[in-house]
Amino acid sequence: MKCQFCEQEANVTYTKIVGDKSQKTHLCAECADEQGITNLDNFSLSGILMNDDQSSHAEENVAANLNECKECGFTLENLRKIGRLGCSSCYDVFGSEVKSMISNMHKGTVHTGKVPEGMLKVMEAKTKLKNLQGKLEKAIVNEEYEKAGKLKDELAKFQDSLAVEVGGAK
Amino acid sequence: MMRFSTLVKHPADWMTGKSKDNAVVITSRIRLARNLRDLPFPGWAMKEERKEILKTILPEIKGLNKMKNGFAQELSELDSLQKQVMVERHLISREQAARGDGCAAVVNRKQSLSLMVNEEDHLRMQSIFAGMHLREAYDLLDSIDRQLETKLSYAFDGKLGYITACPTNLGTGMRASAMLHLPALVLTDQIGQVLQAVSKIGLAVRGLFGEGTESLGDLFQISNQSTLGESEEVIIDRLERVINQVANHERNARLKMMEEESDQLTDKIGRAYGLLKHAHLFDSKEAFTHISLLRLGADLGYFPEGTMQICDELMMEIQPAHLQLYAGKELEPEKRDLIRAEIIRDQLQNLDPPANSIIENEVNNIDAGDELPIEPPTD
Repeated sequence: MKCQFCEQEANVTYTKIVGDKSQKTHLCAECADEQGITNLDNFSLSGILMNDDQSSHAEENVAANLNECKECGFTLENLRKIGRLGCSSCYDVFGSEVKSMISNMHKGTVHTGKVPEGMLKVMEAKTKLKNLQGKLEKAIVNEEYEKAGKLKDELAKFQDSLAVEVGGAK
Repeated sequence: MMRFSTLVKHPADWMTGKSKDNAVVITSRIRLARNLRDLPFPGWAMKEERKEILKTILPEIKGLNKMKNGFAQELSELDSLQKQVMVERHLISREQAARGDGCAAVVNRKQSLSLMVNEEDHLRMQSIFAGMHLREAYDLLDSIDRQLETKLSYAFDGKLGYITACPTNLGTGMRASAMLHLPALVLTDQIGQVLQAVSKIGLAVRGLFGEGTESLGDLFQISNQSTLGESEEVIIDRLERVINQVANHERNARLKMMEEESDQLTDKIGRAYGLLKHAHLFDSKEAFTHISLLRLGADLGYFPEGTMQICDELMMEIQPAHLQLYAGKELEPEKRDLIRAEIIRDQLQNLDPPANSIIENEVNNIDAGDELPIEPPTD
């Protein structure tokens, strides 16, 4: 499950009860911090939320909200019935269900084989980008403005170089 | 491009046994599953979507230099018998034969490469070699895959690897398998034990046509189950090791039977020969059983060179769709049994019986010895 605010893995679920309806929000730790959900000073329930079993939360959420793939309309019921998925996006939507399926099927849970050539570059770039962004955010939070400025430059430069590469390929 | 009639007229390279090391490991096969990003998998796609997918993939695979002058066919243009012939040749899968519009197969001239569009996955590529050549089969497919990945946008995930319709194929999307002929292990009742050991280490054992099919003619298929968490190299390494071990067991069992039970073995092979040459009705199962023994005899020198290739061709020709293609019409099962026996008799008409040479050898041995083989009775 992905964080509703950024692309990272969500490991915090925030349930708000309004009247007799409950509304769930999925966040990664960083965004949860930003939203003040897990910041102890602002929110007293955070301790309980953080200590909860994350995986059971994730599964519950799939059943509650996300039981259909927006891309192709495939549902969780379909998956349970036929054991296959509808499209590549389904793997994001039904991630936790798939995870529990593959642990019994394969020797491992992470791919270690061949990677399409172009993809390797894209993946490396993505990781680097994420890293830089993370560092930048941290620097800003910690009020290390000089460091943040440098990181910002570095980030911009890296993004420019990517744009050139993609443009060049076309 | 080649026509269907040309395709079926010519046996595949692996069937004619151009490599001679295929007495036990008949074929090696590699299959790779690939999908396009963000498009529904064939089993979930609408007809129109499948056609779109076909339009994207087909020109790219037809354009591969390795597929030059090959056979390209939309399956909707073939009748059910023709499709079944392709299944029997391992050129398309049963699942794909059953599906309608938007499916296609491209096969190279040697029939060593077969690319299927809109099977369970958008693209399934297969290479098949005679004998124990998993690595060569993989290298060939890998080179094609590398060409295609620059043109098609594959669904790929850093953690899950190549994305496939079924989670059982995630990761490498690779199924590596070998078809083994194990008559001696069956005859000596060791087969159960061997196959159990194989499945214990996480490899799958199946019959002639993969999943859910029974073993005919002592033919067994061994393949990897796990596709995620290990590299292609590691998977092939392990499979190769295990297959070589099983093949060695089989060879040892053959030699042991020759040494210790040569009369019984000769009898079995002779009976199989007699039945194949003179029977008038053969169902598939019985025919496979006897052809298997003939093939064993061919490996052990009971028959002249080339007999094993005849056996391999027969195993293809006597299958239901091939039979009906040969007859030129659809046939009831009873009629098939008649034609099956006819094809077998026809193929074996010039094959001499196995026993003669062996008796001569024994007579020569006795002549050469000074002592009488039988001790005189003592009163």
